[in-house]
Amino acid sequence: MADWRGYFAIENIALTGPQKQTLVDGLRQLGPGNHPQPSHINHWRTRLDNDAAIFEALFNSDHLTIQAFKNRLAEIFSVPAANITHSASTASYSTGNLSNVVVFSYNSTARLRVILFGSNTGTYDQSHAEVLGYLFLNMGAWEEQGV
Amino acid sequence: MPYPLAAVRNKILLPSAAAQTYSEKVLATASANLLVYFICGEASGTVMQEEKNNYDGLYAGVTLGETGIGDGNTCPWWDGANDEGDIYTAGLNSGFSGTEGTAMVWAKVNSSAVWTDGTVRSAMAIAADVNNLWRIERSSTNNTLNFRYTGAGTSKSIVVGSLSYTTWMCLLAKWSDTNDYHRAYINGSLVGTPASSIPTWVGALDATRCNVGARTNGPVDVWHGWLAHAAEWNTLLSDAQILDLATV
Repeated sequence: MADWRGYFAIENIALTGPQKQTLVDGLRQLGPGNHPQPSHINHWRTRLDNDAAIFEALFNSDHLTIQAFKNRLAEIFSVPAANITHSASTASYSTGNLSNVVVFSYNSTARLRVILFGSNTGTYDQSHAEVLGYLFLNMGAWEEQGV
Repeated sequence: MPYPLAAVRNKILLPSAAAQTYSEKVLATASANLLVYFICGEASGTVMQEEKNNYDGLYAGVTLGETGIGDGNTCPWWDGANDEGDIYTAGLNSGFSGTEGTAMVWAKVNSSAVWTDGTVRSAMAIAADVNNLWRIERSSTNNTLNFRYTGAGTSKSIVVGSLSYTTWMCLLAKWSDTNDYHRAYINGSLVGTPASSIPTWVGALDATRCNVGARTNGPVDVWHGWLAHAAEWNTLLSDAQILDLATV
């Protein structure tokens, strides 16, 4: 286990409303419950369509591994974790930085996309630069422009 | 107690001009009509201490303890992604006047790049809904601040362009249905073209639409940089008072 401060996003692909809520409720419990710095306590931003969220905290990196997400999804679908498959790639949303992108599937259907901004070895600054780049790229989905 | 509130309050009983701190000056300005004042100088915790009426707000995600405006207090930093300072309370709602008021916040952008990043970033917002709102935001237009006032669905915004401050800005606006204007100030000086034919504000405040550093809870349009000394009066401050508040 190691502490990792940064941002990750989840994007619902094909989870039902209750499945999504179970996942979100679990993810909101990650990170320290108390910390002198509000930035280190888990907080999140929800996309306007309520189908994606960005979390930030001082996380235990063990809780953000591919296997950890498989375990969560397996619990949600009530199946063994081995039945959850994944496809991993990288993306870059800011100059010189990378993010891990993992799509989790069950029953041959993609269900959830997880983006670990700055990757699990990145610094906070790298994760921050990546999440800002991601938000800019997807501004229409995240910002209420002009209201 | 994240901030020595009692020390500030006790001092203001007998203010000494020579020793008056900036916070004391704010508290002494139109004191009877000061509805909320957030120094934002907390050292730790999520409570956003309100100094006048104990209408405390709540931080989410900000980084505390950053260098402030030069008054001896620190300030929080907003990350431009998912931080907010929720200032809605029942007290703010009951005391707020969309008909007449003045609001102020000190703001500093994270870097010059914020002025050209094409993203709306709200420094301070108080709203009933999308048709009745007051807000100061860095608009999506480069190098521009938008001092927004909308009543009954009619916008009376003041747009101020060609800005490139990377130092602290004292941002302030006042609005008056009675006197029929909405005026904007940066560092104590009137900026932009004052708006007139001010529509009448309708409705109570929305618990999700009163924020420092974001437009709404969620949060949306998150500020990227530092904010401090957010205040709202349910009266019009004079130009002399506004100029005084722009001086630390």
